[in-house]
Amino acid sequence: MANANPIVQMRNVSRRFGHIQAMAKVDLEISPGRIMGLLGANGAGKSTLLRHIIGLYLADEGECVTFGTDTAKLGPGELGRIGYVHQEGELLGWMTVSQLVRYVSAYYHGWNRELEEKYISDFDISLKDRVASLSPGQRQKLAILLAIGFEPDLLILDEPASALDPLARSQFLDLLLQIIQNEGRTIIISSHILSDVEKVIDHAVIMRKGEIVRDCSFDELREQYIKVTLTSLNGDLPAQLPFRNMIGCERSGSTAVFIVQGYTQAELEAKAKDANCKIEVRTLSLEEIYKVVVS
Amino acid sequence: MTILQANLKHLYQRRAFWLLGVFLVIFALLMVMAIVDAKVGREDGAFAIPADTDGAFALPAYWMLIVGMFLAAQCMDVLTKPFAYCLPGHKPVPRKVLFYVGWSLSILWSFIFFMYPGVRFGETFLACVSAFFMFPLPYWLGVWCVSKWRSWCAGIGFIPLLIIGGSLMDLHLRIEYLIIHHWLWMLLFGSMANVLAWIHWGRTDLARQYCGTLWMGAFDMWNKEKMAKFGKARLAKIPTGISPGVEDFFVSRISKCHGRNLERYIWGSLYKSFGMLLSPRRQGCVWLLIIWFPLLMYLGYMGPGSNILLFMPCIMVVHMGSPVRSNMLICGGRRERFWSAIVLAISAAVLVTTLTTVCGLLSLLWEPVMPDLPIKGMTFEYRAIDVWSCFFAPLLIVPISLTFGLFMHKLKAFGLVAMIVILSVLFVAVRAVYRERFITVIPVLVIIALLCCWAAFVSILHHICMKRSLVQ
Repeated sequence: MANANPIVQMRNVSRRFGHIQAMAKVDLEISPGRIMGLLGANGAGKSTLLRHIIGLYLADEGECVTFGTDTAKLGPGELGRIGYVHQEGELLGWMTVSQLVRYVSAYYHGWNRELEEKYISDFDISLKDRVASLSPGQRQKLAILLAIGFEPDLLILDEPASALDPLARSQFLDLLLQIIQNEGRTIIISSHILSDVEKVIDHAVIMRKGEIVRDCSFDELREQYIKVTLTSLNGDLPAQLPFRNMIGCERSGSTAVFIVQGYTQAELEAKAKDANCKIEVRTLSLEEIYKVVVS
Repeated sequence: MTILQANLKHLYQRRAFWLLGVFLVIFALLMVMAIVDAKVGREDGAFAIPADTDGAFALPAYWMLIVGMFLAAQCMDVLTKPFAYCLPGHKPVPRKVLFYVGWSLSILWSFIFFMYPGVRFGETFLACVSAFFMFPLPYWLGVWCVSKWRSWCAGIGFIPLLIIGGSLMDLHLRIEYLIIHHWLWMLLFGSMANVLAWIHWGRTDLARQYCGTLWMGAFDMWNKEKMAKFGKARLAKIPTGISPGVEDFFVSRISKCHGRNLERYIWGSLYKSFGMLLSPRRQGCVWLLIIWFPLLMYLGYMGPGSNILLFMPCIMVVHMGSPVRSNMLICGGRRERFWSAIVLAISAAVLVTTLTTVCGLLSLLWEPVMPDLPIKGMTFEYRAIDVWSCFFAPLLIVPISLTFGLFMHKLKAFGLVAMIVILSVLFVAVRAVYRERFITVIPVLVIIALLCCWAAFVSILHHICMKRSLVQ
């Protein structure tokens, strides 16, 4: 996983809130150009991890470096390259949309006006509305616009689609895909809507109780877990199936459905042939993989 | 358990309500003591109704008002919850709660008129009946205020005004007089209030009207999420925003600071904190004329109490948006947050000190022309507010307020109350020791205190900005 110039480097990072261990000895490296999905249940430590990356939280132990700088010392140079959308969607409610866009854009020399106009139109955001009067979905769209308007090198999206309706979510995914086309941009996306996430990510990090339980490329993750439907060609299946690491095996007469880990498709087919069985294999969706990993 | 019982459980399940319960019981005991005292003191011979009882028998009217507000807040708490709308048989319950409690308390308090001195038995009985119909009037007023304003805090804020105004106008004496002498009117008005309340709280569309509406319930001011929601809703309703001139001024300065990051962040923070304040609004001028000038005139008659003016900066500063903790990521690091917070604190101190000093100077100008006010046999003389106090006290209070704000950023309301209590105690203690204008008497001490307060604020701010979490 090591990379010569990772954008984010976390080594042995721990963070505690009172009795709660929010992050426990987390090691993570994020390379440039990676589209990383950060997955985990509520309270798994995803938001805490993201806030460490941008220096809003400081680690109790360990070291966290973003763009080569200790996150405690992140300055405008580094933060000006990070776009951040967080789940609460905190914005300045007393401003109108146009005032807020103008205010935020004033900070960034490379603010893309064309992009701004395009997404204001696509997202159907009224410039005259007071930010406080926007619906949660509209506010989230505005937060996304503000985070991408200056075309950041690192885009951090903490539950960005949670308040969006299906149409807006689809627009948001299209937008993400467009951003991804711009090579070299790194995106970290934390979301519960895994069906959306799997369309865009190329790397997955799964967290549980403050620890990283999986950190690998999405393709690798998909190859690791395979759903198998095994059907005996001569009566009932044997009591002992010839596979190790079987997960969630459901048997009914001559058929068994289960998930296996660490086999190639060719190996599975060979084993099925030896057992005189017909085999159907399919890759798992991210949601299914997530359930397996977390359980 | 019946639905009614489930609703009444609210009254004892929340620990914070016990405090209110204790307050109501103490208040009730004090009233009973005042009533007994009035009765014992007047039973001997010459007795003129009602001045000789000092209106003690009418004091429960104030108590009923508070109870009305409290109970209405409970009913509203349940009514506004979306689940309550769907609960079977729940719709008539708020009316039951309000009437059971209201009438029971009215009956109890009306019995005190059996102790009323110097009246015959028949008159005593009529006084009791009259009181039974009179006490629901303030009770329903309390209920109405809370349900109308949809905020328990707004209702509570109304109580001191009513008590002060009531005592200035001898309202309790008048109420007692009305109960004893005009029982028919009391019966009429009391019945009308009860009937109207019965109709209002029995309306079939009441649950629909309140379901899911934003409601600021009892002790919700400690609820950060609800306060944020309320704040957003309030902001959304404000008709006028930032003026184009102010926006242009700040945004152009932020834009021009490329390469000078610290300066840019400071301008941004100043815009966030003072943009609205500096935007001239017609509404603001009206408030100035309606609230501030009369308040300033009133403060001059308060004597040492005029120093309350000096606490106002606390309220303003604690609610000022701080650049230290913000989840909205704008390109500014911890160093930028620290320095912008310093600049903001200095700007706030200058602004507030100017404001209070101007107030002090205005009161000095008005002193020769303001007349004496005779109220209830006493003469209130207008005295100018001490200008030196107006100048130094905000400079002292602003860093203290900001330090409280840094520590209690999640519970601003609690921080504000705690700070006002601590500062009041300190203020009273210093006054008691020095008696005179302590600020002018011991300038060296004041300067040392100023330096200490600012140094403490800066060091705490530095520690938080550099070492602590900056998540809001």
